[in-house]
Amino acid sequence: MSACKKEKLDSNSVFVDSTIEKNPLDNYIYSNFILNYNVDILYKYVDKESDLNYNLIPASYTSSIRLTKLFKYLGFEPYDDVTGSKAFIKRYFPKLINFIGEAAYRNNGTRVLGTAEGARKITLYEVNRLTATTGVNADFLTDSYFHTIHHEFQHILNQTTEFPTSFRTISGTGYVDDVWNTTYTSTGAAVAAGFISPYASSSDKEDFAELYSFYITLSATQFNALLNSNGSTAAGRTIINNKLVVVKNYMLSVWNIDMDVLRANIVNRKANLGTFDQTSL
Amino acid sequence: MKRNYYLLLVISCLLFAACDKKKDRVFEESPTQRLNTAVTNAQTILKSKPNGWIMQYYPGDDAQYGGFNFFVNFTSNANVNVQADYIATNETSTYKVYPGAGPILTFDTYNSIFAFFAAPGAISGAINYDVGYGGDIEFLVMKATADSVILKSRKRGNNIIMVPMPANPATVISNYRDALDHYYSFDSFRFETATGQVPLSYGAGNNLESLTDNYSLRVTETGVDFYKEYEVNGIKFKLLTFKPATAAYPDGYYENAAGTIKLVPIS
Repeated sequence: MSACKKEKLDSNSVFVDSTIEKNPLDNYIYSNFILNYNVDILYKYVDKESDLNYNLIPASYTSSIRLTKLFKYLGFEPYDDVTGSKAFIKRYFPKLINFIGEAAYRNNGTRVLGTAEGARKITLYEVNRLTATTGVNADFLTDSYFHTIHHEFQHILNQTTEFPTSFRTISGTGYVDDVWNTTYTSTGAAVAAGFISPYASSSDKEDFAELYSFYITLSATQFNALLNSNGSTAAGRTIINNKLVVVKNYMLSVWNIDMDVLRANIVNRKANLGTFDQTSL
Repeated sequence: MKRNYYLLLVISCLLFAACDKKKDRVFEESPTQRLNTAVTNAQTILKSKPNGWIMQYYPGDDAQYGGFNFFVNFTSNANVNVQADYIATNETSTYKVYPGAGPILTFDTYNSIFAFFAAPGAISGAINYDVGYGGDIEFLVMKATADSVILKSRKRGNNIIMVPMPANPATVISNYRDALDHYYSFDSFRFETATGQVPLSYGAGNNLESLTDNYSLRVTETGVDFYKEYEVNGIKFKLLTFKPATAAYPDGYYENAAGTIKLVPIS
């Protein structure tokens, strides 16, 4: 114990990585994501970053190019605009974004569309569904990727600074944990109970992230349509609006982000998708 | 008594506590160096064939759905061109060899030829919702030489062999595709030996099913090659060669070298 000799650790791994030619997407990720935001995108399948319990297939090169470019356009740049610099994303966004070709399918007939692990990594599935057609479909992009991205990012902000406990008291014992998908089988039923989506009923953390993500990724018209889904009630809408006040206050007071400004920025970007170049690197 | 044993154990630990750390190595190099060498070697071997390799790809637990021939050509340190006997597609994607429990070969971007077997059934429409055919995209390199590369699929543990593609790849690929079409041109099969017959039907992939057993095989240019040695009516066999039609066998038949077992197509 006492007679150790101190050895200096070599900063290089003992395992030598084989040299792999960099392609245009590798270079784009390096100069736009790693240098600007300190975020890396793993579009090539890496087993240790993926969930081995599922049969996963890798993302395609062409779909990865689209999602990488759209990620910057709809995921990062709205925050850059609203906060005035890239520093916000660079400091708080998870450092690793993992692309998987299709969803992770469970044998019970459900599938996983996105996951976040701690504050470190976001995994996006169904990347191969992104094509020239779906790439300009704003609703598809929101549903498939960007709702998840903003939702998971909100979790990370919450882990850095917790949201007020008053939020939880609004629905109190109404959270149903794992049985959310059988408790509320439609958006309308969830809204009637004061949740923006069935998943929001699982816990206060999910409720908070869902409300945030739906609010900033949908236009006022779309959001209102969601609130007025079949089966919804005015009482439920009131609960949601009360929660929304807490979410908005939190974002403004803790992060100095006005959610209405952020939403206007995102909605405007979605409207301009048709002229956004998602294929050139 | 029990306490004495513990005491003995503790004392023996103390006795051996101050050993010299240095041990004679079985190999000259450290395990890390040997793994690095193995990775480099695997990469070099894979890339060394200008016409690429014929990969005997078996998806599924116990290779239960039979095997397919993939024609893979590692054209650079990153890119691989893939064709197959089951579909007339030619697709380039990426690969990598990296250290794990040994060198691991991974096909790390989407390639539809692998994806058909690797995708969950919800995507491929095959077998079941979550697993599908259960094909792997990652392989442990067990052995890599100029003559062959022996792989083990990482999730299913199937043996997957790659042999060099001969000098005329277009012809070879075309022959494999024709042979597979031919194999699928019948209604069913039967095994035939001197002592009896076993009726067989097509399985979910390149496998044949009797009432009780599953036979996993791969269709080659000259016949069928089974995943492992099977035994029917006491006859052991693995490789069968196609023989042209005769009066008794109007669709021809596949037969082993000894002529003791026939796989007879029925149309």
